[in-house]
Amino acid sequence: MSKKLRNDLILIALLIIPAVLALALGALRKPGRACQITVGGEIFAEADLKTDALIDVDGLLKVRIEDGKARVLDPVCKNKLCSAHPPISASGETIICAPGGVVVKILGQGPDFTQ
Amino acid sequence: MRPSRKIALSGLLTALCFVLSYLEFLLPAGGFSLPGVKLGLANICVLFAMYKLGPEYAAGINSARIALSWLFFGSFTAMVYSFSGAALSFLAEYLLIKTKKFTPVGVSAFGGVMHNFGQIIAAAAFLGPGAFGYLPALVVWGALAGGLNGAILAALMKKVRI
Repeated sequence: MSKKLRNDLILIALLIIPAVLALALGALRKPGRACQITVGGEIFAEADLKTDALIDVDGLLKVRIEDGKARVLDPVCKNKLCSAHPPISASGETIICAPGGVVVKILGQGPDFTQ
Repeated sequence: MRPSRKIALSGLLTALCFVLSYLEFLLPAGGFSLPGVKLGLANICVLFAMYKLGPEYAAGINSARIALSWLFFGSFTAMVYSFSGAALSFLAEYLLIKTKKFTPVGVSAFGGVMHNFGQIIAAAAFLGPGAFGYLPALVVWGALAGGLNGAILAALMKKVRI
């Protein structure tokens, strides 16, 4: 193996290993307590995950809280990526609707890797 | 290479970039339904230009690509993310090529990851720090997709004579 190719592999490993570790740590995250919804960086609402609810966020989308999990329904944007995202429940998990500027985030007692 | 030839080739590469961007736009996102996740095939053209024509031509092609994608199939926010990612990845790739210690595979993988960093930084400016939660997944994808693009580029640079 040439020296350059070895450098490549070291570089790629240095890039991927921390990211994989972060993902693995993320999988161990503790269950969340509440769900925070921000629109354009401003807090829109905060809701307890224990109580089922359906929150309309400025007509942009709806957040459904059910069985301690939050998910996004009926986004008005066309790519629908946020509603395709699986429900979130662990502390620090987020669903982002980029076109609408909406972030749904789980708050909790566990470590928060997103700050 | 004569400047006129370089300019003509830049036009050709810009067109190719645009076609590759369009191809990616048509591809279904499938299971990788994370915003910002894509193959970045157009970067093969940009890197090809950086190696063969020089960074100033590659920068021109890259800017034209972003402007075209915005006009044809992007939103303004997507363009800002794309620009922020492209600028950071371009700089990173340029510096890595200058060290002469890496093959196109390493250069492109690093560029891919830096593209994701740039996108996330721009996204965080719009959405707040919550956007960084996506970083680990994007970095893994960026390194793999970037490495793949680099391998394609390395093969192309061996075959294509200009």
